[in-house]
This record gives sequence, C-alpha cells and structure tokens, in this order.
Amino acid sequence: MKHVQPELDAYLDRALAPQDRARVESHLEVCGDCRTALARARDFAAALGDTRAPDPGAAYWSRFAARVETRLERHRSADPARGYERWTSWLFPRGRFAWVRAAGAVATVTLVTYIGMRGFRPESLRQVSEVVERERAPATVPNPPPGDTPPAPQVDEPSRLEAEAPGTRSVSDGVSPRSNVEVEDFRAAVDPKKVALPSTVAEETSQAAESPETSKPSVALPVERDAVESSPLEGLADKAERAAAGASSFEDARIVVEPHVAPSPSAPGLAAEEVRRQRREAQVRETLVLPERDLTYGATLRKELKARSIADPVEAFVTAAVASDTSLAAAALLRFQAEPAHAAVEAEKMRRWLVSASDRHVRGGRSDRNLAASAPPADGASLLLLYELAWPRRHSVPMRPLLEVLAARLASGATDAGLRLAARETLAWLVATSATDAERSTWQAKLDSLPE
Amino acid sequence: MRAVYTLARRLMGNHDDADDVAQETFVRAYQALDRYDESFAFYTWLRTIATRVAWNELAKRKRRRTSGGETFDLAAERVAGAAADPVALAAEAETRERLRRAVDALPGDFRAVVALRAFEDLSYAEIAEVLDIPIGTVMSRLSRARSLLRQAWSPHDPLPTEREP
Repeated sequence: MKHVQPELDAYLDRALAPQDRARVESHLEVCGDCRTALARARDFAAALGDTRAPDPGAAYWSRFAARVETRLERHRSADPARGYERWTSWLFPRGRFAWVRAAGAVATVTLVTYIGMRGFRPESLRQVSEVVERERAPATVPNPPPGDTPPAPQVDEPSRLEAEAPGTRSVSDGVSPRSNVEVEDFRAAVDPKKVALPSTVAEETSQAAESPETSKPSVALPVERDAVESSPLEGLADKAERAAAGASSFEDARIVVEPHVAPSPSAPGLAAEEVRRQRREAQVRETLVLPERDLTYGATLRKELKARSIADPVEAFVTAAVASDTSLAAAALLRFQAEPAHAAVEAEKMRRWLVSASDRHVRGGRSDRNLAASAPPADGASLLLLYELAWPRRHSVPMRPLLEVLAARLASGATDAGLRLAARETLAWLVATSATDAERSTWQAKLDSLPE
Repeated sequence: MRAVYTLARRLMGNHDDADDVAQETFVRAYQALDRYDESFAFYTWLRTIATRVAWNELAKRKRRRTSGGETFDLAAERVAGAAADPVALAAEAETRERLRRAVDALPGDFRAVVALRAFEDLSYAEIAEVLDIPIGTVMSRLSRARSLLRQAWSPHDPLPTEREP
C-alpha cells in the first residue's frame, strides 16, 4: 500500500484530480500514519494562514493616501510618453471641430516661429498677443463671409476683446448655439468638482475621461478659468507679465499662446462613461482613503468557517461580530454579497453593524485586533442587529453558543423594551432546548431575573 | 488599502518594498481605471495589480529581501484573545512569529506562491495565471516552500516521504 503523504498538501488545497482525491481518501480510511500526517498538515496550514503581516502603524496609514497622490503626480509629470502626447496632440487635432483647432494650432505655430525669429523676450509678450489675435481671428469664427473679415483687434479695445475671447463666447459672437451647449456639456463632464477626489486625481481623471476625438482639458479648463476671471487675452497679458517678472521658460511662453478652441465632445457616450468612471473612482477612493476598512479576507474567514463547520456566511458574520472581529465580519459580508441569492435585508443589517463597529474603531483609534480584545460591541442597537441576524438560524448547531453569548449580553443590557423582548425570547428558547437539567435551570434563572 | 499592503508585505518580505509596491498598485489602479472590469470584485483587481507589480519588481531586482529598515510597530501585531492561556498564547505567538519570519526569508518566487495560496486562497490555476508561470511550477515551488516553512514551524517535523507500512 502506497502512502499518500506527499499528496496531502494538494489534497487540502483541493487541487487533486477527482480520481486522485478518491484514491487519497480511500487510503486515509485505512492508514493511521497518513491520517496523522493529514492532521499535521492541517495544523501547519492553519498556523501558516494565521501568521499576520506586521501592521506599519497608524502614522503610516495616515500619510498613505497623500503619498500615493504625490507619486501619482510625479508619474504624470515624469512620463515622457504622456508628456509628448500632451504637447503634440493639439498640433494634430481630430474630431468634428478639427479644422477649427487645426487653424488655432497653425496660429500658435506661427506665433512660436515669430517668437523664435525675434528671439524670446518676455517683455514683448504683450505685443505678441496682438499677433495671436490676428492669427486666430479666422479660426474662431466658422465660415466667415468673404469680404467680411473683421479688422485686426486692438489690445486696448475691451469690447472687441470680449467678443473674440473664446472662453466667454456667447450666441451673439458668431459661434453656433449648438457648439456652445456642447462646450457646457463637456465642461460639466470634466468638472473636477463632480469627481469627489483629491484635486490632482480629479485632474487626472478629467484628462483620462476624454476620448481621442475630444479636446484635451489642458486647453478647455484654462478657458473656463479665464472666463471667470477676465477675458482670455487679459489673462494672456497677465501671464505675459508674470513671465516677464519671473524666471520664465520657453515652455511658459508656449503655454501662454496655446489655442483656446472649443472642444467637441460626444456628450451621451461621455456622460455614461463618466458615470462608470466616477463609480470606479469611488471604489478606489474608498479603498485608499479609509484605512479603517480592513477588507482582508480569505485565509482568516476560511479557517474560521472550517473550524466551526460553518457553511452560511451569515453565521460566519454573527460569529465574527460576537467576537468583535470586524475584519472577519467584513469578510463574511463580502462573501455574503457574492452569493447570487443573498437577502438584501440581512446584508443591510450586517453592513449597519460593521458601520457601527467601524465608528467605534475610528473614535478609539485602535486596530481591529485591539478593538476586538478591548471593546466588545455591547450597545443595544448592535446587539439587536446581531439578534435579528442570529435568531432565524437558531436551529443551526454552530449558532447555539453564539445565541447563548447574545442572550447573556441582551439580558445584562436589557434596558429598553426591545432588548428585553429579544432577551426573553432567546432565553426561553435556550430553556426549551437545553440538553441537561442544570443547563435548563441556569437559563431559567436568567429568564426569571429579567425585569418586566 | 490594508489588504493591498498586507499582500505586498507578504509578497516582498519587508516593509520598505511592500510600501513601494502598495503605493505603486494604487497609482496604476488610477491610471488603468478604464480597464477595470466591474464584473470582478474590486479587491480582486487590485490584488492582480499588486501581485504583478511585486512580481515584476522581484524579477527585476533578483534579490531576496532587504535587511533592516522595518519601521512597523510590533505592538500592533498583538493578537486578540484575552481569554486564552497566556503561556500558550506566548508560545503560539512565538511560533507564529518564527513562521512569519521564515516566510519573509523565502526566495521571492517561493514567497509569492505561498502568499497567494496560503493568504489569498487562490487556486493553483489562478496563481499560475497571475504570475504567468505553469501550474507545475506553482506546485513544485509550493511544495518546496512548504518543506522549508515546516522546518521553521516545527524544527523536528519530518519532511513528508513515501514509505511502505
């Protein structure tokens, strides 16, 4: 008879083929040595699963999200491919208003060339802005009638500047109302305020939200800011002055003269995608920003379920909750929610208990494990939630010890009618189902001592 | 967040590398939101990212682990269970700590399969997929890793052998 000890790990891992599994099991029935080895392998697996990675401590978690944000920002600015794309995509626009943007791009290239020929002098940027206006005038007014070309703009003519300022365009400025609406839709779609994330993340998201056919927000968003503050050309002059005052670079000058042209979004598809994106981002944010939500599941839950022969996630949840093990409870809730036919009411009760436990955790500033050791959730609302979850499963063998614990807590905390009723019902059931007279009399005494 | 760090800690075997992997995981998650398939659990997606980040890092650096530099709070490792016998609890904690350090000391490719099997409860096929290695390799590495860890768990524990009764 060949021993099966080398296969026991795979057997425990449920990784054997059916025929091998059957062979191992039939061997285990007749071989004491291998049964001993199996028990040893189980102990080892449990011990290994029970090892915990060291927690780096509260100070580490409090800084974690900010450090991720910093790294994200660094990735964004250091990624040469993305940088190249950002700085070149506006030169090769695509989409419905591509010709408009192309014209703006040509204007900018002309200007950059102009600066290059004259030599870059920040103090000359105010004069340069006149050139920008002259170059951009045909691009911002679609289909201008022949011979109706407006005169070259004057920098000191506010009304003219206002009319030609892309960020402040209205129906009367010669651009169709439809494109104006689209601009507004687009702005709404990329509005960082609608994405409840840290600002850098929101900007990242705004950039990523666009399809290749839409304009880049590095164009659209500054338009919006300029529109609020003043006309874009005034903003341009301000930037030119800032460039002159500070140690500006050629890159700064080029940012100043980027073409402010309306984007052309495909609004319905973008909106649907935006909704999905926001949902995903909420998940990231929730996972990232809330360190107290420890969603570690797997080994702990599996071990607990095996040890107690629990097949029902609700029972696992009550087991964890009675022990104040919020990690395990969260794991059970996740497992429960993964069941195809889970009861929404039970899930909600489990979630509420977890929220309550998490609140205490946050207030106490302690880890879940320390919370479990020192702060059992004995408040009435939590107990009632557990009672409501446990009571329908009272006939399950593993639930009885939990109901006994709950009954004792309910009885000791029965300060209101709801808790007293729950305690009475649980204690009466324990009396009725006691296996021995001694046990029955113990529960009966607790039942009798309940206040009316 | 902690689940991601914990996985990274187990994959990398030390705090500094785990911190790097955990941060990088979230950065890549942000950057790859478009590719997240909502039919999968969110943590499953993060786990895949974290594992691949760690795996690439291990493959790139070809080193086992850094020495020192661990800044974690050991007090946070205290285990709940005040009702347990203090002596037994201490012995159990010692065994657990010895085993944890043994996991950290495993070669990176062994540690990865142990982490994904023992702590993340992935099947052999899932481990093979996420690490992009054959199932046979998963099984052999797991077997060798467990042999090493059994020695740490119980120094006198004999290695499993085939014997005739």
